Amino acid sequence: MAKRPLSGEPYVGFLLPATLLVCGLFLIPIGQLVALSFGGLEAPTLRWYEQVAATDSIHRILLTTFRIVGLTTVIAVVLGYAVAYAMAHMGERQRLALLLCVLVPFWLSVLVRALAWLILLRNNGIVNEALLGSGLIAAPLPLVRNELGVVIGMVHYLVPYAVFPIFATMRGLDGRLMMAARSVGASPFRTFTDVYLPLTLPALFGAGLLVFVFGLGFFVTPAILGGGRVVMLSEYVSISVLQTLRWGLAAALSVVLLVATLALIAIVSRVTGVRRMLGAS
Amino acid sequence: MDLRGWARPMIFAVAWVIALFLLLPGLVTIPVAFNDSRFIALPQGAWSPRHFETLFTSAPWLSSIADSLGVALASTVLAVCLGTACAVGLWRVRPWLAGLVGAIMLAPMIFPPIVSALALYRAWVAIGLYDTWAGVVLAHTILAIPYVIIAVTTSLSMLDGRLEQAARSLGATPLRTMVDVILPNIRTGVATAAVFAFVVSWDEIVVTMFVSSRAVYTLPRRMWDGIRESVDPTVAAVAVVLMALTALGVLAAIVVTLRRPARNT
Amino acid sequence: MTRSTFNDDLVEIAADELRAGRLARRDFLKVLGAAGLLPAVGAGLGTLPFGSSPAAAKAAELVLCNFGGDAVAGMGEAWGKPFTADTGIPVRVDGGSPLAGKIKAMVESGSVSWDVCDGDGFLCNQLGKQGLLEEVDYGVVDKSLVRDGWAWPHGIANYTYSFVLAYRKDMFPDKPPTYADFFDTAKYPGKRTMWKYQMGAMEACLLGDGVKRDALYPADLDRAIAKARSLGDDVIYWESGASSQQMFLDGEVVMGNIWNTRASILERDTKGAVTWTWNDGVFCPSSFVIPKGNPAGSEAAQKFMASMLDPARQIKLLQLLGNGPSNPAASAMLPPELRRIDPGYADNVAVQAIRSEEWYEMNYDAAVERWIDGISG
Repeated sequence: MAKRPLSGEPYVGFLLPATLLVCGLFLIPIGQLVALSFGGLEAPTLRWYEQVAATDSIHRILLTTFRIVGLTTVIAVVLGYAVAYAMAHMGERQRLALLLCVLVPFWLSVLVRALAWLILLRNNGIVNEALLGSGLIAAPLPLVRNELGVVIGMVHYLVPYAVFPIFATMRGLDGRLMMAARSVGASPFRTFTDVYLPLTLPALFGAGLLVFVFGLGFFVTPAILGGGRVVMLSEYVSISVLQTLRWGLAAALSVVLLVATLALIAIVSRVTGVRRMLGAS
Repeated sequence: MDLRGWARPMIFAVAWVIALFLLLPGLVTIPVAFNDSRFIALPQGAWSPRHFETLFTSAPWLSSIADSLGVALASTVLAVCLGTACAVGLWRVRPWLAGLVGAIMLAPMIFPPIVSALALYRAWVAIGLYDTWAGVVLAHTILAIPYVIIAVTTSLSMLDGRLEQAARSLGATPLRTMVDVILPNIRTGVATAAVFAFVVSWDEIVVTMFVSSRAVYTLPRRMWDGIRESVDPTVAAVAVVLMALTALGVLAAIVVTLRRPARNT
Repeated sequence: MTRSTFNDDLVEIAADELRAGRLARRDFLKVLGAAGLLPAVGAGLGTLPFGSSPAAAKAAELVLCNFGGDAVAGMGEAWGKPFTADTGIPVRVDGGSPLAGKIKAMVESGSVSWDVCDGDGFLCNQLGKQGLLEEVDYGVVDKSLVRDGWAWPHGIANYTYSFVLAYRKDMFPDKPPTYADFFDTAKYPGKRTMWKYQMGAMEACLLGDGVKRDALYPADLDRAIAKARSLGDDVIYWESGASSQQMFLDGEVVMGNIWNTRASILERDTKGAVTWTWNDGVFCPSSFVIPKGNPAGSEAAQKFMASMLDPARQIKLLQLLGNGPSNPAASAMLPPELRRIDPGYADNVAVQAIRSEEWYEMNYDAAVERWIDGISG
């Protein structure tokens, strides 16, 4: 197709305000930080990237991060899908009650949630005391101050972020499609797998992407619920920024994170129709 | 879709179990907020409203609530306007442009907050936005825009593009098309976007700590102090109040919805 | 989520004290005055430059930046108010967390909004050597008022704190535990806690591994990490001062290497069920610094730095926040109940290690990263 001039794009103007804001007041500052990751303009260097590539501990932290965030994403999206599905197909009263349950914790500060999980899950916490009291277990289960605690806390935070986009899509689905499928004799299960699931898949992957990138930025939750022994990338970056003044390293790690995330988006969009999520038609 | 037999009640039951899981930490904060001691703990004996009294009589807490509300409302309005327009633009422009701009707009969400915080801090100090209302609102707006775009785009992806073409072919300008045709069809998405934007701002702590110090002191910063510096149960009282307000809001919505005759099922 | 250094933590106590109503009742200065000590001390200290010169009087206000929380009110009360009374310059305390990175960015952008910043001892050398700080004018600030070695070219110690071994009294009714006991999980079952960010924890590990407290530096970090790992699941790491307190209050841990400010609050709040020993503590200085190009000008800031060494004001800070005086003269004139909580009181210093600012200046960055890596996973 021949390239038209941009003026042939009537909607370009819609992009401008947000783009200007984000470019001018976010990307330029970030760009200055990225310049730092290459040692600044005066003395360009790749030493921070060499350090990222050569340091075992950074590899371990990257692995831990992607493992925990990946696991969290899968769980959060599956739970979110179930809740969204139920919400989309319930009667009005039930739906609103369920919506209430999803919305209320949405407003709970990430700090308060972490504290609450500690009260619930620690060795002498409510859950363990209840289990011990009922005789189900003989010794407290290690539910928190480890990776399990981090996953529980993160899933809890991220489920609502998965519910809303999926629910919005399910609400918008044309119910007649499913009725048509049923009327030509498809079983409920087949209708679900062959019609409903594919239709909601973009939203599912969109939600997964949202939850994943959001999870990558977490560190209050891992810091408090991990008991000090679960260190994720964001926390490591914060240490480089705040404790050790290695802004170059922090910037280089951020660039690595960004590239990895964009690559992931590209892969996911190949596999599914998720390109639509990013606006391409 | 209509699942029959066992599947439907089972999925509903699963959803309710998940809902309980989501409510659990909130439920725990209620007794903590009413405990009678100076510590964050479950009440040992009598329940007491003392932490609520602290919350509603102390000037610092009250001014932080006001700061947070102001910042969150302003940045939500800004982010929803800019983000929705951008998402509609992305939906209609050519793929390469949409891909490029889309990637740019997602950046504030993808970068770890700590990195954004550092970058914005340096920029805000340099251009005089440091520790100003405008600075905090702009920072939150930037952070919220990606969420708005994703929510609206999700909604748009369900919309038939021919609708827009039809409107345009009848001579409507892009703006008219947006207001009269597109917006009414993506209301759910825009509402979701507003909720996201508000929560992003309301709960934002990392960037806020970097770009503000004295002039703007949001609620999360106050809570951060309350949790990190002292074992202050007022934080639990804040949480309970916020949950109660949310619950009231949703309940109001329920009442309004139920009074309205059901249009469809 | 962000760093929590000791400085973050100058806190809690002031508000707690105010809430509990202890602050007003126990104005220590009155005690001193009644004992006739104040005039003598004032004379002994010689020339504290509190007079207002025309240049200093021109400064519209002075901004002291610290790490927020109750230290905002505490430092305002102990240092800000008397300085304003002396000079007429209002002092505002800004809890904006003057992290080294923030100071650096401010100075480099040429728009500095802080006059005096609170930081850890060795930080003033790290920043000073990058040319980001005003030199301390030792014609105005009397360096003889602080311990030898705690007055650096770009900063001076204005308060002190310690990492101490806190423990449950019922577990050690007769004598306090040692760091050997800390690592003996067979004999003393239960979880322990240490700071996640290396400091204090590394020293605790080395002491537990048999290193003498005067031979801690240069520190063998790998040995410390190996010792920390030997605790397995019996150690949880605290990451904010309040969380170290909370762990004891909740009964999650039986021993911990925590800040002395937190230990003394714990002792009070638990009515002695949790207490601490100064033995083998690690005694550390703060350093206050003046970013280059500070708004109120160098002269006013230097005078403010000097005024903070005044014993009465430092004792006030000890009462409010639990941070010890950096001026040994102040420690020497404490009444018994305050001696107990002052990390710098002679008897307490005698049994503690003194943190090596030189070692931390050179090694801190790499040490934190290796420590975090060592204890995680």
